[in-house]
Amino acid sequence: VTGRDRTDALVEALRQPALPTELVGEAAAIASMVGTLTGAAAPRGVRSRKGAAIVAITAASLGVGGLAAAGPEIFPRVLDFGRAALPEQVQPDIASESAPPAVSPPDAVISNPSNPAMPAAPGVVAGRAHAAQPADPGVSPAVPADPETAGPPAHEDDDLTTATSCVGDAHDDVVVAAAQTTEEDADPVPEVARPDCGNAVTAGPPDSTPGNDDPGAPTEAVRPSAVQPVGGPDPSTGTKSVTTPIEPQQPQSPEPGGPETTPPASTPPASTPPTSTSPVPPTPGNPSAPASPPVTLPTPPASPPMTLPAPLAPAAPGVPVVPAGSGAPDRAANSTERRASARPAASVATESGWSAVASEDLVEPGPGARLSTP
Amino acid sequence: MTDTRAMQDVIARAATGDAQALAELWRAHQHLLLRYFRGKGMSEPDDLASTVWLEVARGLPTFSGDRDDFRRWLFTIAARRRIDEIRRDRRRRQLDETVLANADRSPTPGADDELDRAGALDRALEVIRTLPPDQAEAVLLRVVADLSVADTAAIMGHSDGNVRVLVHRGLRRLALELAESAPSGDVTKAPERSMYVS
Repeated sequence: VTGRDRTDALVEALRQPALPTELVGEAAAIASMVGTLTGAAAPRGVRSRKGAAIVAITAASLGVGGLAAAGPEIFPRVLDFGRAALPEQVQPDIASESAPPAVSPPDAVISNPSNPAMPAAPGVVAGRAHAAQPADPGVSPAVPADPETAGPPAHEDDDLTTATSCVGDAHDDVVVAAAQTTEEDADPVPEVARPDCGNAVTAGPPDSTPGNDDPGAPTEAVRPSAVQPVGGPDPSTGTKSVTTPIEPQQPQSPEPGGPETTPPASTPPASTPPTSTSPVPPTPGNPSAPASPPVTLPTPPASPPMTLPAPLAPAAPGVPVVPAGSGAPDRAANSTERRASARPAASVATESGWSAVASEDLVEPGPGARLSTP
Repeated sequence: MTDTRAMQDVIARAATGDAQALAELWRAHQHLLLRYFRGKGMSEPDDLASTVWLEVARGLPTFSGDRDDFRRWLFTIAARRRIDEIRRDRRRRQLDETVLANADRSPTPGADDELDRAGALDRALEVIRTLPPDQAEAVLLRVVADLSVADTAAIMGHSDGNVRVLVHRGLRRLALELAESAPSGDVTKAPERSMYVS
């Protein structure tokens, strides 16, 4: 046996066919290989399911987080609109806002003093908001503030122009009750909420800001329908424009095309408690319909309550009126701007409805008067 | 040629997950893998072979080639897995010694032909394990895996000439070892230049 033979024998031994002991475990090996090959899609499916779960969890987290973050802003408005609005309107510092020397009328038109951030809701219930106001001169309850039917919104100072001197909580209660009632045979709110209250109303320029500063000189009917030039019943809403003539001597009609408030530094007489210190721009959209019958004012229960203008809240009887240019004009201007920038036009309609009681005797303005708000 | 085409078909079917094709591939190459690992002194050749086959299964859908290509690919994977196993196993030397000790107690060839074959294989592998690693690697890849010099060189990371030298020296050393262990015969004659060197 040569070395080559030995080598050949060794090579032959190495290259011999597979021994049975070397093929043990064939089934397990083949199964694992088949599983590896056919199970290639399984990991992708698992990843897809995981991805879907991750996406779902992420979306849910974002949704819940977003709702939780927006909850304090949204939920009170939706669920508890009235109660959320009240604390804002009783801020004491807003009293000084009522006497801005010159308020830009267009800004005032779109402003909502009650709640700047509050969107306009159809069918604003004015009664609830007024119930919290001790010196509420007049209430125009439940004016549907449908943006489509409310017409052009009244200017901002409509809520501030209720310079009626209705002193006493009893009168306010009556007015609130009249506003909140849904009975057909109830006294009309304009009648109940007549601003003079038997007190001598100091004559003042009806639409001018100083006149509005005068608590006895309500100048506007600011109900949504009243803002309409016609002043008649709104066929779409069924509401009528209500004007509460406080003083027939208020001949000053609003200037069409935008009220220029020229606030004279007039102070209300001592006999009339100043409830409103804000200047009232002219209300051209106020259809002075003195002969219009009392309006049945629906009070939608779900509608957010109309809020009083902020200046009226702290304006207790006896509080001196802050004339234009005095007091805190800067704050007043700032607040006016703030409100003007934040309030939608539809909500103004409710305010106009509120102030309509105090300004019954306004002359119906022209169609374009103070209705320049888009 | 027929075997090559048949193997291509088997590989193609195995790539689709055909169990029979996979079994055929496995039966054709499993023993070679085991011998390769055993010749390299790996302690658990079965586990390593299983790892190699799993990697083959993962790569089959993207594999394309004939029988030689598949064998080259298979032993390339085997060599890498072996190296990985050596790097992981810090006790390789100790285990190798254990394997060598167990090899001494391997069953002696008996009357049974299978036992004779198994004994011859064990002895051959034992002799190969006595070679230097590079020579053993080259001999195993050239003889057991039946790879070409180029493929062996590619797997080992050497040049073709280096592989030829390694194979030649390894076979000559094997002949010397076998001559020394042989009871009789011409054991001093070096093996001639064989076909594995060329």
